[in-house]
Amino acid sequence: MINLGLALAILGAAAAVILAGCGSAKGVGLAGQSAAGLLSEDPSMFGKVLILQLLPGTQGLYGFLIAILVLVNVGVLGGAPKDLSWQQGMYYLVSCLPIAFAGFISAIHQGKVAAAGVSLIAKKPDQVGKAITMASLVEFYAILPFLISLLAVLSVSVG
Amino acid sequence: MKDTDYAYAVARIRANERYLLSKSDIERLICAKKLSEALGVLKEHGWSVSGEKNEIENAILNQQKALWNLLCECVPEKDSLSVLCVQNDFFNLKAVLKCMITGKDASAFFVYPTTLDLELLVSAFKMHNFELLSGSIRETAEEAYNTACRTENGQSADIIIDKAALKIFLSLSRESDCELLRQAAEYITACADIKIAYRAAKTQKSLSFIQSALSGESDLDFEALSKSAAKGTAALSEFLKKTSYSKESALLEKSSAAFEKGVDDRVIELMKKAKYVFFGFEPVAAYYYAKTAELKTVRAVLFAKQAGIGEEAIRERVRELYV
Repeated sequence: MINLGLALAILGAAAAVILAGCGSAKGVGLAGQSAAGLLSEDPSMFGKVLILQLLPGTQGLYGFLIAILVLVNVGVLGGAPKDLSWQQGMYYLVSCLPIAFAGFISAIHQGKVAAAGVSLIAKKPDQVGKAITMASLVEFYAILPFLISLLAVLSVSVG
Repeated sequence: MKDTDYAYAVARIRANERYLLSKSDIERLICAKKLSEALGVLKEHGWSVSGEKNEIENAILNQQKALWNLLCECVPEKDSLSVLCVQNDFFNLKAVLKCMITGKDASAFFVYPTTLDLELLVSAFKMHNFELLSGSIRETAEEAYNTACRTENGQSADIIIDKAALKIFLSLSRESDCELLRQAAEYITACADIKIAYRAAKTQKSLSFIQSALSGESDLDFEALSKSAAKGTAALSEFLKKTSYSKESALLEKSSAAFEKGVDDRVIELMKKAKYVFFGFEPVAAYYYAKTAELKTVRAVLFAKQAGIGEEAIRERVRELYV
């Protein structure tokens, strides 16, 4: 029987992986559509646009890492499920929220910047560095919540 | 439809913008000593120029086909493109009607791109079966044909077709969610009304004729425009000077060609805003107008060169370019 604390922790892990993953899917999808548009005219640009298409995918990876950490910490992965109080469970849930929500939003916006960057490269192929830099700036706002979620999850002590 | 649905289209369009002719390319065309040298410039930009007799017309036709194929391939919904060639569709309708009356072959007068099945259009007129056509084209074709037969006056039929073309162009542009296209359509409609009013004023047409010929869809005061046109060109110019179309009025007084060029240049100026739009229909519409202006310029330059017109006179005819 799963207790409330464990259920809340698993809910947090699910939120981290689902929301950040959905954001990344949307972002990578959008950048991918742009990339396909450019590659249909100039296939030699594949290497340049691949980086731009990959960038919005990192948020999903961050959410996945946080979810794995939570699941390992609470014993769902690699051991027996631990008996968590509802307060501990709530702590895990709240710890997962930064990467869940900021990951979701930032991935979509990074996808838009990446898609616009692909259009920029389509017209001016020598501007690839600027396009990648602009898309990478959005990454900063995925890394910050990821670090907060990571530190928060690591700091929980479960008996 | 969401703006982001155009991500694929915009990237393809941007890649193709690299091949648009720049001002320096047009200058090279103008300065080319031989036609073959000018065609060489076009080849550098991906034009397929054959060695046939009508190579200029063929090259332009190939470019028009390539433009339309590109747009059809990249937009998420092909129907969204109908706004771009609605004027060509109605021009072709007019060509078929006139050729039916004069007994000429209409295919020589067709303009492209068009969403119409031109063979079907010709058949509809030959069989007097307008049910073969669809939507607004059917109604306009039937009305124009019946009017032409009844009045034996091609001008009345022309008015019906021109008014319908402007009305549908404007309504489609408003439905398109593309602000730039809406602005361009409103400007083109107003300029079409100005041109009609000016011609009517010059030929001293009656007020009732002018009012029947004007689209009435533009932002110009319909009553004031028609009444000033009925009074003559001086009164019309005086009225237009008080509106935001004073520049166009001055161009029209200069020549019809200068007016057409001024309108095309203004539309391209408007469309240049699409350079800063990364999602949506705007870059697609802008590319269509950019390529169309480029083709008009190439045609004007090459034919002028063939006719032995001087370089300065050719430069006056060069349209504003997108890049």
